[in-house]
Amino acid sequence: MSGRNALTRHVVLWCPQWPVVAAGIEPGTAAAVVDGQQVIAASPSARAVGVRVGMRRRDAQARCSTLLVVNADVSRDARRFEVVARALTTLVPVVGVEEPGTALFGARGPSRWCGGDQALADRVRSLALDALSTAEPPFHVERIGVGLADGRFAAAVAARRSARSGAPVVVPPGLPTTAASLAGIGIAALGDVGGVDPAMIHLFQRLGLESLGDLAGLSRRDVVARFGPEGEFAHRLASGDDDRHPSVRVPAPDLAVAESFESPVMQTASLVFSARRLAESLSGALGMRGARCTQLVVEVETEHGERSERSWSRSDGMGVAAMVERVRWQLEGWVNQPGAVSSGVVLLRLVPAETMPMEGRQLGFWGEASDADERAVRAVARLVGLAGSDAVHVPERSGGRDPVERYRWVSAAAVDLDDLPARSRVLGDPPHPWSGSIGTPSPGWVADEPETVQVLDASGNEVRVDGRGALSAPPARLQRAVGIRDGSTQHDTTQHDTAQHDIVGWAGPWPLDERWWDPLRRRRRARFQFVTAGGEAVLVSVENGTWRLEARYC
Amino acid sequence: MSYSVAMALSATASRNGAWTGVVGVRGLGLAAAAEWGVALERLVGVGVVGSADSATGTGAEPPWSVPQVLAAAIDGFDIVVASSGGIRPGEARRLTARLLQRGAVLLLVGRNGAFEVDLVCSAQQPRWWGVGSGHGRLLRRAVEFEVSGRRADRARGAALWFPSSDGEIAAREHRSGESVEPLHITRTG
Repeated sequence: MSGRNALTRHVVLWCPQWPVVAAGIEPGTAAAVVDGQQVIAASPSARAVGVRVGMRRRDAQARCSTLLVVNADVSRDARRFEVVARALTTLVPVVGVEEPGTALFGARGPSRWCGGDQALADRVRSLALDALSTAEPPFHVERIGVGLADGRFAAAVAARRSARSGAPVVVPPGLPTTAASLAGIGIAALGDVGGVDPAMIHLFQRLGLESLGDLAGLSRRDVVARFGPEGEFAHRLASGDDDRHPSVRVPAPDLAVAESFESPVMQTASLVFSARRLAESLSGALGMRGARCTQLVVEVETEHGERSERSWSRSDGMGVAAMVERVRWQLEGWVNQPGAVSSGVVLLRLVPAETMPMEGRQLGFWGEASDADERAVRAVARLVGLAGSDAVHVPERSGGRDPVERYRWVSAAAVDLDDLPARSRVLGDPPHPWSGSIGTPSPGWVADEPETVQVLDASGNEVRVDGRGALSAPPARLQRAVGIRDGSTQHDTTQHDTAQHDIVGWAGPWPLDERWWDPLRRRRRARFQFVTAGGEAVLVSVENGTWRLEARYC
Repeated sequence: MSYSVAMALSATASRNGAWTGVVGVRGLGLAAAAEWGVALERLVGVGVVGSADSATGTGAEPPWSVPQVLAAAIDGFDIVVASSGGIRPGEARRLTARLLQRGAVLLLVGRNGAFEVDLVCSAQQPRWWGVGSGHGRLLRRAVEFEVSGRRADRARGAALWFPSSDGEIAAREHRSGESVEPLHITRTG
C-alpha cells in the first residue's frame, strides 16, 4: 500500500448522458443537449447516427436533420438527479453528488448492512432504477452503472465499465486487484473521471501511453521528474493507490456556518439569499486560510424534522456563487419531491468537507475591488432584502439574434458580483454578430411582452408578408390598439399614445427562422424597422400574419 | 428618447468604474446600454423585469416601497436611473439631500415629478438616417440636444448625431461652439 492508508471503499452510481435523461427525452428520439454551441450529451438514437459529445451543434445537426436540440440547464440536471440521490439515502445518510448524474458514498457501513459488496451494488442499482422509473414524470434512462472499489477514482471507473455491461462491477479490495481493474482502461479516463488536466492527457497520448496500465508501468520517480506534482497525481490515480489530489485537506470542523430561522422559511428564494450570506462568510473564512472549498456538505432541516443533506464536490473549488447554486439545486430538488417537505425550513448549514489551497487562482487582496465595488455589492444585498430577490437583477449575456435576446436580466442572488473581472470578460466581449442580426444601434427600449399592432398599406389593408419575405404592399401606417398604454409606463408617453403613426421610412425584412429543426419550438419571423412621421423608429416583427411592436429606438 | 439620453449620460462614468442602478424603469435595452458604453458588469436593476401584471399595461405599483429602494440604491451606486413616479415632495427632498451627501447622481427618465432637478437634458426633433423605403437600416440619428435647468446658466443646445453611424455622439455642425454632452456627468467620490 506504499505506506499510505488504505483507501476508503466507495460506491459510485453513474447515469450516462444524464443531461439528456434529465431533459425528459423519450426513448428513440434523437436528441442532444447543447451548451452554447457544443453538444454535451446525446441520446442513444442520436449517437447511433454519429452525434458525439463535444461536437459543434451545427455538425451534429448535419449528421441528423431531425435532431432535437435542448439547451443545457445545470440546475434542471441537478434538480432531477435529486430523485436518485434521495433514493440512496435509505442506505446512507449523506450522499455525495460530484456532478448531476454521478452519486457516490462510502461503501463500508452500507456493505455490512446489506450483506456484502455485491449485494450492496445490486441494491444501489435497483434503488436507482426504481426511483427513476417511478418518478413523475418517469425518466427514460438507457443504462446505469454501479461500481464499487477502493477509492473514488477506481469506483468511478468501475461504474463506467458497469454502464457498458449493464451489471454492477465490484472490484475486490486491495491494491493489486484495484490496479489490475484499471490497467486496461484508456488513459482518457484520467480526465473524464479523475479531473486531470486534458492537456497533460493529450501529452501522455502523444507519448504513446494508451492505457492507465501503460502509465502505471512507468516508474513514479521518472513521471515526477518529467511532469511534476500533477504527473505524480495522475500516476497515483492510474496505479490505483490514490483518489484525491495531494493538496486536498479536511478543514477544521469549526469552519461550518449555519443559520437557524426563528420563524420557519417557506420560500426557496429567501433561503437562497440566506445561503448567500453563509457562503460569503464561509468563503471569507476559508480565504483567510488561503483555502478554497472543493467539497461542501449542505444540510437543511424543516420545522417538522425533515432533513436534506448532500455533499457537493467540485474539483477546482467553489466560490460564493457556486456554493449558492448548489444550495439552490438541493432545495429545489427537495421541495419538488412530493411529500418530502411539509413545513418551513428552520436550519441551513454549510460544512466545508474538503478544501485545497488557492494557488494562483486567488483574486488579489488589494486593488481589484474598489470601495465603490464593495459598497455596490453590499447595496445589492440590501436591495434584495428590501425588494425581494425576484426584483433585483443584473445583466447576463444570452447571445441571441434579436436585440431583445442578446442580453437578459438574471436574479442578482445567483451571480458572483464580487468577481468583476470574470463578469466583465463574459459581458464585455464584443458580441459576435449572429447571422440574421440587425446590427447597431440597438433599441433603447425593448418590450417585455410585445404588443400586437396593425400595419396598413396606403389603402388601409393589412400588409402581409409571404414566405420569401415579400410584402403585399409598402407599409404606410402603424396602428396601435387603443386603450393599451405604452409599455414604458411611468413616463411621458402622451405623444406616442395616438393610435396611428404614419410610416415615412421602412427597412427589412430581416427574416429569422429559428429552431427550424424543431416542429414545436420553431419560429419564423420577419422583422422590420419603421420610422414614423414623428421621427421615432421602432422594431416590429411579423409572425403568422401577426405584427408585434418589439422595441423602440428611443 | 429619454432612455438613450440616460444611457449616454451614464456611460462615461460607468466605464470609469462607477456603478449604475436602474430602479423601476422597465424595458431598458441592455444591448443598447452596452453600445452606449455602459459597463454591464456594474449595472444593477431593481424592478426592471416585467412581472405578470405588467402585461396588462396597467403599470401596477411595485410590491416594495419605492422611496426606500431608491434610498438604498443612492447609498450603494454612483448613478441611479429612475422614474419620478410614486415619489411625494417630502420624499423627493429627503432623497435629494441623500444624493448631495453621497455625491451620487440621479437621472430621472420622463417627468420630473416631485423632484427639483438641476439639469434637464433632452434630445429633440429626432431624425433617423439610413432607412429608405424597403432598404437600408437605421444607422444614425440627428437630434437637437438641449440642456436647461436651474444649474445651467442658460439653456444651451447643439445639433448632434445621437448616435452617429459608429455609435458615438458627434457634433453635426457647431451652432454655438459648445460641446454639450460632457457637461453634466459629475464624477462622484
